Amino acid sequence: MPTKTDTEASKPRVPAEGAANFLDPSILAGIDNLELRARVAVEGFLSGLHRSPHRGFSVEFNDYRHYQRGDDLRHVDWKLYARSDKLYIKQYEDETNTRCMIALDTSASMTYTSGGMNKLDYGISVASALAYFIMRQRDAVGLITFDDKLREFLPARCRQPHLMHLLRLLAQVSPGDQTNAASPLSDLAATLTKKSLVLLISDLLQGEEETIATLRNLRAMGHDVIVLHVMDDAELNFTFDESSEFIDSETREAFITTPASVRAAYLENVRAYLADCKKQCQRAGVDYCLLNTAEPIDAALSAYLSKRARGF
Amino acid sequence: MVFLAPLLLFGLLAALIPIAIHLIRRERPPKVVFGSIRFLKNTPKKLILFQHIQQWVLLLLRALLISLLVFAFARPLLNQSLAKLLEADPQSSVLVVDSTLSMRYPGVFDEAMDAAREFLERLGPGDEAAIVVLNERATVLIDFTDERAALRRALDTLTEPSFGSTNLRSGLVLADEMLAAASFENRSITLISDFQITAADDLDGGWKLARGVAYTPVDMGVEATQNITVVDVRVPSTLLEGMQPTPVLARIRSTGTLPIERTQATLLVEGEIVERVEVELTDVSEKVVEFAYALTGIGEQGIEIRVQGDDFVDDNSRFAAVTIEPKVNVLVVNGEASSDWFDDEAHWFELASGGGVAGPFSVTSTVPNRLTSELIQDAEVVVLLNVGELGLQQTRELADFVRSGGGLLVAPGDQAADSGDALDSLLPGRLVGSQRLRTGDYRVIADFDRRHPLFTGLPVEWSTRFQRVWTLTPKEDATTLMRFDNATPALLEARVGEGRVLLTAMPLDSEWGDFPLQPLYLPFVHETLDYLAARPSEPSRYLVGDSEVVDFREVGLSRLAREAQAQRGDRAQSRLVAINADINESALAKVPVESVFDAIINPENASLAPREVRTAQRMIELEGPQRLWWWILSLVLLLLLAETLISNRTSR
Repeated sequence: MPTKTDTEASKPRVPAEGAANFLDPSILAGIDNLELRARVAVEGFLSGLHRSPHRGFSVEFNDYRHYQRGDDLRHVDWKLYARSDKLYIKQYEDETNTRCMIALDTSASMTYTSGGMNKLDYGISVASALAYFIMRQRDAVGLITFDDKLREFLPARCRQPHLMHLLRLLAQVSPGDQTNAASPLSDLAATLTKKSLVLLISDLLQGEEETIATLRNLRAMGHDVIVLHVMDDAELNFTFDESSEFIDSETREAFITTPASVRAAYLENVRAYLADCKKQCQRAGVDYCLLNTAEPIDAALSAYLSKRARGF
Repeated sequence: MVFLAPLLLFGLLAALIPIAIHLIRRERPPKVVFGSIRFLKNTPKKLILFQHIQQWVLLLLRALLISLLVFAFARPLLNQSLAKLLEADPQSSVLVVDSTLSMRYPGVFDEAMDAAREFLERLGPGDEAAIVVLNERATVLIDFTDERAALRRALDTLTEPSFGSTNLRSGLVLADEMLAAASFENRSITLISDFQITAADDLDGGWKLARGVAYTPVDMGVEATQNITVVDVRVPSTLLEGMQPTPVLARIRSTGTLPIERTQATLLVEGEIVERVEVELTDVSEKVVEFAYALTGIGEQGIEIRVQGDDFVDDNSRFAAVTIEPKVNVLVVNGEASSDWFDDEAHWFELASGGGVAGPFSVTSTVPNRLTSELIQDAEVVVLLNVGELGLQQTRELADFVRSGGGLLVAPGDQAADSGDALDSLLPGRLVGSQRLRTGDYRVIADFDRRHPLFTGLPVEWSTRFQRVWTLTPKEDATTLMRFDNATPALLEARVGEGRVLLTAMPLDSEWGDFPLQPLYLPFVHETLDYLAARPSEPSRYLVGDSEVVDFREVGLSRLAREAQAQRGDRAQSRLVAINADINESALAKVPVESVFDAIINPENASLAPREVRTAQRMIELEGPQRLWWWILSLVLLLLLAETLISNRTSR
């Protein structure tokens, strides 16, 4: 078994009790229905939050309406019922008008996998789970997919049919070519008229400096940005033994080497690269979260919750 | 370096396997579509170069590992000569060369040497050989060596045969013992001999060559031989001055396979031809020849009997050494001299000792009061017959005479008195009185020491009767040689200094008994005087190779140093001896070579291990001390560890 290096991705993540099985990428990969996959992930994640310090967030009371069959009895105002002998349901108003835009990298490098779920599928799973979760919080969520240019754009909405539309769009994502995140993100920035939360799901293997520079611009425009840096376990730990011809998935450039002889140098390069990414994100005021496709996706949800709890 | 299992070297082709794998794998490395190779491209160039070097080192290591394994299993040997030994199935051989007298027959020894050289030429590479020579005894001419030059040099030292006698068994036993410690299992003995007929006499005792020892006879014998030899010379080795002339006898014999009818025998004394005798052997193969020449003079004389007329001249002479000694000077002191012979005490004794006429003794008589120092010094034996008391000076001179090696015989009679005088200190016993027995009663000799030199030549039966005897009391250092029937001593002996003293219990005349009238009297007197004179009796004839004449390698007359020098200084420092060859060497008939083979070859040779087994055993013996394979496998283990370390750092 390859040895994990001391990267952020290798840090042990402790999912909430009972949620680990539903957040495991190997389990999620077996669920074809993206909605179900998102629901499983989110419900599993939330079920583990009962004992979490990030327990719940409330919405403020707005109005009453008459009880209708099928309404949740938890929202019945029993005091009013005592006084009026009528059933009224409390209606709540969103706490904030949060608008989230999920930017998913669909370049060719995202299709790499050393086994199990590839980075693109992992990103789709994370995106769908986040979208489901955001919609569950009655926030608006939108989506863009890109490789070297913007491929799909779905503006942020908070209605239920929108979620289904978004998930359908994610299910239809196909791998693209090379990566150039700066341009699509610039296009996205131009469309954002309100303060939004931008969730970038990418491997940042091409032009990470330009990408982070663009994110800095977004941050300067008042948007909050979270970078979910998706990396395969083999990319992080270089778990190869046999001499091979390594072919770049985007540039198709080949490099023949013996892993054992270059492993140390490779890992050092990766460590420096990750540290640089994190450092640049911090400088830009961007939250950074490294995701290992071999590990549960709770890190992504935790990162969002953490940001959401801080109220942007 | 050579290999005991060279066929396994074909396994070296397996060293090509890692090379082939290297070449094949280099052409088709597995392709891995990776997310990005940006982190690989940034690895230092020296890592890549080092990686290439490691790969080449690995390749070489793996090829070397396989090669070394093949080498180890091929069982290498460092020593080239040992390997040659194996290839040639080397053998240890002992060449036994008969170099005895019979090989001096014309032409035989030269042919034997040619055969020996041919044997050395036939030695294979790595063979070791030793040479044993049969001379007077079997000796190792050169021990085992594989250097032919050394063997040839050793063989060249054999210029001519010796005069020794053949004993094939001694040579074969020695060779067999040498082969027991030889290096190789393949062992053989090659015997070059004329197989002279008496040489194999000792081979009938059941002795066999050791198991596995091959035997190859090389017969150098001549079928048709003519030889005549002197097989014996009969002449006393010691003659006394004035004795009757003794003829010299010689036995002449034809010992070849072809008869010789006549020859001439020649007697040489001190190298001078003194007589020739024609010998006719028409009807017989052996004849005794008598030479009429009488040896005269005093001292040692060398005699040679020589024959002629045959091809084999080295056994034509036979030698003898004769010493003519002067008579023994005997001084008789007559204690009761008389003009009447029947009353004279010394009458019978002088008659028995020859009286100085024709016997071996020169007898001088005197009476006690005329016993002078000069008379004593001239004598070898002094006989005191019924002597009474002597003067103190006479006694002292007698004592000195005895202590310096002289002989003294004391026969007391009625003139003697009981002990107490000065002479008693010389005597082996004390006289304690004498009584005449009653008429009809007598003493007889009941017992005597039959092993004593004095009595070895005397008859056993003593019928002498004594009517009166002295009663003797032996001293502590005395030996009782003879006893009467009442167990009292009749004859005592004691050594005084270098001399001997005998004391009888009766006089040597007829006054007390009938001893002088008995046939035993004369030999008793002679033996007693000879014993007291104590002249050395040493052998004068030897055969070549006898231990006492081991330094004399040839037949002939030689002077031999005396082992024990006479203390009186009047004896020669050396003596003349004759050294002859063993007459068996003159018998030139041959023993069948096959009978020798049958007598010595080991019947268990047939069950010897097959050659393949012996070769395998030999391989193990040769390989054992070196154990190169062990070192190679150890090296392989180390290289394997290195390969594991390097391959873990590079590739699998």
